[in-house]
Amino acid sequence: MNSNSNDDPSELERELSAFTLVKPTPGYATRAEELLVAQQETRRKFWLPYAGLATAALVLVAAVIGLPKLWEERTAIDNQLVDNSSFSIPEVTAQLQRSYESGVHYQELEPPIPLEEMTEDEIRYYFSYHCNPCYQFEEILEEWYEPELDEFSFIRIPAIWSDEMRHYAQVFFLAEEFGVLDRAHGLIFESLHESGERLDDLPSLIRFFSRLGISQPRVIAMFNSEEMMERVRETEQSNRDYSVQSTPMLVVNRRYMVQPNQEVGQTQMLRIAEYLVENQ
Amino acid sequence: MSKNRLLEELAAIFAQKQRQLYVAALAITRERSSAEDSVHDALLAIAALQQRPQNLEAYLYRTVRNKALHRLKHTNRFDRNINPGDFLDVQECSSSQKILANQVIERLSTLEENSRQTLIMKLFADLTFAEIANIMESSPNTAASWYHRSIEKLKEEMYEQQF
Repeated sequence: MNSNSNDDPSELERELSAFTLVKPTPGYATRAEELLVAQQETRRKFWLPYAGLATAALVLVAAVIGLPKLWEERTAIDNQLVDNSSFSIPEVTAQLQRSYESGVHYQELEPPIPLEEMTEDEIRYYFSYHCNPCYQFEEILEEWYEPELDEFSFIRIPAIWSDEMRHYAQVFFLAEEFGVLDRAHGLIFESLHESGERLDDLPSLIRFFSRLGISQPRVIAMFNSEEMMERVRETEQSNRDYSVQSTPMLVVNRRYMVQPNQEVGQTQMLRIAEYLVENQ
Repeated sequence: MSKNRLLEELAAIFAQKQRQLYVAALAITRERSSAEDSVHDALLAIAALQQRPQNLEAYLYRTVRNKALHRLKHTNRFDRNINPGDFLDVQECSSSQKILANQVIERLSTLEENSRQTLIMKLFADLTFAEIANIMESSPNTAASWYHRSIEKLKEEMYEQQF
């Protein structure tokens, strides 16, 4: 048995009480009504002299059964699309666009995934929680990326080339799955680079996510789930597709790779990515 | 008592307790359509009786449970895999909640029959121990005992599996 067996027993109950039994179909009550009415009909035919009485009983039965409803049907929710028509191009892109050269500022790649699968421009960001430049890069990213502009999709993807990185990729996916990535992402970086409160095992993850309002059963269930393993496998494949060997690294529209080097600083990486989205 | 009176009473009980009857059946079959059919089977069986049972409501619950057990026993072994969507309403749950639901559903099979039914009725249908006792023809204390035992067993099963 494990050390968590003494935890509050009500936590699992609280988590499970969120689930409800599937509601019966509308035909459940209707069918029962039909069955009972059919029985009444049989009796009525048998007892013709008492036809009036039988009819009254039928009406009564129908009235009794017809009144209650099982549960209210859910109201369909209409999703209204937000009009994201505004599209802005940073001025700096136009100013610098002549200076970006393939082979110097970015690398052209053979796209491993057919481009026709893409429905919008995308920038993939391969990062590692262990990477100090990635930690610094986060601050620049936070000011730079404005999702509401809807210019492109920006996708964070954990880099994986060791068991430790695989573990922290799972931490990333946990936070994403639980809808707390916005709050957790910076905290995970801080745990490795500032506080020293590492998240190397499941108990530390349970403590970490409990502070974000995620219960122990959900963390345990998700961490080693087949869905999680599948996401990790897909991410490892994606890492292989783009030969990710260092971070931070940007892949624009699955065709161009941007990494920091002597010519390209972190801020410039983002300008190059913007330029590639707009011009290539 | 006339046959028509029996049917009227039956209809009245069904009108009042249709949810509990359905839950009692679903706790056994863990599959929606079988649960509904079990209740219908029970209504038909009682409607065909020549004599009114002394406690009609208790008799109805017992018949529903027997019909549900009968359906469960005669379900093809290959059809016994529970489809979570036919048992729990997980449409609006997150993926992680669905995973947790699947894991719990899998482990329900490891629980003893009475404990499992009690847990399902208490946890997923929010029935009181008094209501459960009424369905299970037991006492509220016994129902509570079944419930707590099942929760502890479920915790052990889940945590031992994961760590």
